[in-house]
Amino acid sequence: MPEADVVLEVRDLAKHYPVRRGVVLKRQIGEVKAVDGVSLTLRKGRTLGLVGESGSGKSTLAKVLVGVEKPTRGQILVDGRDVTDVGRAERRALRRTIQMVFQDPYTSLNPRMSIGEIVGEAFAIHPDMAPAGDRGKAVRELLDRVGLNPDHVHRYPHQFSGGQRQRIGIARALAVRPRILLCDEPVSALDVSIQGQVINLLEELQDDLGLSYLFIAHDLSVVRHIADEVAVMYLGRVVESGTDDEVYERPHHPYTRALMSAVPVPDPTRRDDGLEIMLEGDVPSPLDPPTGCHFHTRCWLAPLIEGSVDAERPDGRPVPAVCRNDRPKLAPQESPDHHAACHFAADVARR
Amino acid sequence: MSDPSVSALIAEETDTGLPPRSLWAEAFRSLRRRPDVILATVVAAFFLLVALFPFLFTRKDPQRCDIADARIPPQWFGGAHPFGTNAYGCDVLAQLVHATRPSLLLAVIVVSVSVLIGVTLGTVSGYYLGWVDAVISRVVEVFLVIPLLLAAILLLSLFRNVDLGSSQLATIAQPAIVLTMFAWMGYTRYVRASVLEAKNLDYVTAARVLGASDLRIMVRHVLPNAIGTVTALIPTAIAAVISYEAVLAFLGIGVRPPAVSWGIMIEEGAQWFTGGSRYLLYFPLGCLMATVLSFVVIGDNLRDALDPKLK
Amino acid sequence: MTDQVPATTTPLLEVEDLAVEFTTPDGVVRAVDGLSYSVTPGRTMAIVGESGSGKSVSSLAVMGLLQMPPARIVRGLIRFKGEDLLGLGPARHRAVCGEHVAMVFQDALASLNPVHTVGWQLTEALRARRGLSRRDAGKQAVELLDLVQVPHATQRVKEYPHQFSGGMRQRVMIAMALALDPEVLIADEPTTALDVTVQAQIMRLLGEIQAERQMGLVLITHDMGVVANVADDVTVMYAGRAVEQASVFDVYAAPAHPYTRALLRSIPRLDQKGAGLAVIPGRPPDPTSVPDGCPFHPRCERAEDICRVDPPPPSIPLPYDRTAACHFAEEVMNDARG
Repeated sequence: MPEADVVLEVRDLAKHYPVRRGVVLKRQIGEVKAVDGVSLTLRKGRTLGLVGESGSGKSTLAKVLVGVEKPTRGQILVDGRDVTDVGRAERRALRRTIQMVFQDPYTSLNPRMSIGEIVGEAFAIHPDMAPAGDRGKAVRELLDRVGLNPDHVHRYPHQFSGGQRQRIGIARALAVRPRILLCDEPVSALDVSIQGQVINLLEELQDDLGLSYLFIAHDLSVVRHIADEVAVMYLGRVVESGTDDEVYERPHHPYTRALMSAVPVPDPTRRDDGLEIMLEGDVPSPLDPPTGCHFHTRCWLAPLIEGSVDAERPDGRPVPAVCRNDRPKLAPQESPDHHAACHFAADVARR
Repeated sequence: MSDPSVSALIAEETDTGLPPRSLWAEAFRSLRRRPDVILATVVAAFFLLVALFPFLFTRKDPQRCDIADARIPPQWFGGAHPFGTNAYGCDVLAQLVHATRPSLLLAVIVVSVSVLIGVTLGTVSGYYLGWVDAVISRVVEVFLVIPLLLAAILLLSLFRNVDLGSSQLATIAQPAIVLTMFAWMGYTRYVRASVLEAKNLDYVTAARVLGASDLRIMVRHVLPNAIGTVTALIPTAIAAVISYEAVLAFLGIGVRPPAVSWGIMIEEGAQWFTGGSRYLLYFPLGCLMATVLSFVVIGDNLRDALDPKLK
Repeated sequence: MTDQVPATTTPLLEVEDLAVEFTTPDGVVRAVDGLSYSVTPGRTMAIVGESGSGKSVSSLAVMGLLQMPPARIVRGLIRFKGEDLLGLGPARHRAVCGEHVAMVFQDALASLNPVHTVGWQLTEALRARRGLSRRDAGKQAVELLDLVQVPHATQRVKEYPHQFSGGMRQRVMIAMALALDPEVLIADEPTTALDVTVQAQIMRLLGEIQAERQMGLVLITHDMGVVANVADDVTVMYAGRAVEQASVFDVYAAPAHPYTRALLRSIPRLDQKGAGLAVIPGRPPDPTSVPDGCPFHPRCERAEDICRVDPPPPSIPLPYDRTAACHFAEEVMNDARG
């Protein structure tokens, strides 16, 4: 039985893209497992932060959740009901439940439509949302709601700054009165002084409308600020998940630790604080991910594990055989809600 | 200080308050300031006027010719035949004026039909990809490798004896069909490429997330991006059709007599070029070049003005 | 590699009262207005600002890379080792910079030519300026890639830019900049497009190379976190003006300009979970219509009537060899201390 306040549940979701070569006879030569068995739970009125570097599959996951891409495997449950294979009419209804806010304020608004048309498009698509006569009023209310001047409905996107455009994008998403908002890096393209304005708007909307957010970001500090729960992704898999405090204060996966250590602290007096865990190299290609634990090629912990001499990595350092051969399961750690997918999770916490 | 609506209000206050202006309005504003565009527009408008209201410019019937008056040199505005008469004694000014309509009509028909075909096929093929795209792209390639003139000569000679009547449309029907057959591929490719570019933009995804239908996405979000630049190609295409018609007429397979076109006049005039009546070539050729050039100038500038990347 | 000369006495690059204007259809835009800074060997000057603050324009002016027109250097001096670069004329200016001052841009993919191998591009400057033979140039290319810690350098010099990941491309860009052994490196948002783990690697690499070669580094960035970790001195820019200049420790400990203070407060931090992020209201001014008086006054929480009318003097001297362009600089600084 699903818990009462769970609005979105993702079970073992996967999205694989075939890699084909050839013009006429397209042979499949491989597969990119952009999302590879991800499970998540989002509760009502809460924010789940999804963190990962480029290639982690977080944006593909977002596309699958909003129905732009079809999943290869797995289930998406909205209010406990499986919506992975639903008919046309139900899919339309589902559109109203989950909406999305995009990263780039410049490509996410049609430059040839006025902002009134952009925000009002939802009513043209779902005519029952607002009676024809009330649409203008509804659009103005939405603009006011996100802190824009309602008299600007006839202006075009290029007359607005990045932060204002992001507000327009939020108003468009709110038009169908969704319960879940998927925010794909909504502030990473904005200036620091504007980021806070948009984050605060999102938080205010959440409090007023009881929205649930899936907040995707590469910026750990922004996620720390807004999220109640956090999931960390690496090469298509969730490697650690838990409440915000659990993940940030007691990380149990070496990747989470490394990611956090890489975030520069805005305080010059703490430049040389503690030991710096530096990740070497780039994220491996998702076309040919490492065997076993995807992270073993860059892991700082693996070479420190006793008895890890039987397998060698590209940089020549030893790795325990288990990391190279077995995919670690996302297992509960100290608290039942805190999961980490590392064979040596306990060691991470100790170091 | 952290209240977003308060901060937004301050943001509004610092707003410079530009009046709303669409891309088209912006384009017209910048075009208005260019003398060459203004001149070209005046020339094009003049010929359009001639095509629509030929009787404003001549009272003579181009078909009523008196062989006794053959090859009278231009008398300018003092005499009965300002631009002279041709080898059959027909008034050149009257012919020029009445030839404008078939020439322009042919161009407008060919370009609008081929744009319609091109935009439809290009959008469908770029949006759906898969087998639809494969079929359309192959057909485009087939038509691209056939030389236009060869095919036109072949087809028009084959159907030369088919009589469609003598109404205005019937006289230009055959060249119109043949030229259209070989004019749509460019638009198809062009639109397909810009659809491919546009369909993965975030705002298209946003419309899809809202539940917009394929038709709505194509018409409202994907096409407007391609249309602006296709529009800018139209004047140049009109110029091209006018000159192709001249070539076909020169070869004797263009607009059918009794209708006259600039091409037919050029063909006739060329025969007398070395025979002492050069004006018979100069007048139709001058009209053709003036029209083609003005459409090319308008097209080029329109394309630049409508391209957001050049701003 | 150099004698131990006290760093502060021999500035490599000096910018004095630089002002740059652009002619646009909407009027003349003053992109940089009275910027001064200097870089000494082995030290890092960070120029911090939001988009439109003029930080990138100023570095293009230093390199002689501004398109003129529409740009115009209205006044100011740019000196390299005491030599006035602006007086040399554009061609000589670029030549001196090409030899001694190098630049790394944000977008590594756009800055590399897709049709040439990485090795060829790495040594283009060496072949053109130093007349190296192809064989020597090839050896140099491998050494340069080694220097920036690209693994398997001997093979990778033969590859093309698209075969490199974002982080590796940025390393190639740095290697290219280092080819002529420059004395000053200007890095314009070198890590903005990169993932956070890769960003950390690149910043560490830059730091190591700088320390080893005693280069002067000008780091242009919007990221106060990066600045805190690598800079020695900081110049904060707003609307084309330097609003505050001080050592990195002083800036973070006690900002003397309300803009700097607000900027520091608005950064979400990994080690702090708080309700409601502090924000700066409004947005940076449109460059075509910068407000009268102090350009920051519409967004400033400390603003008084004088700020709306009188622009503050460009650099009010404060204790500890720092300056700020605010009528209340001393008070703001002391507030932060107290």
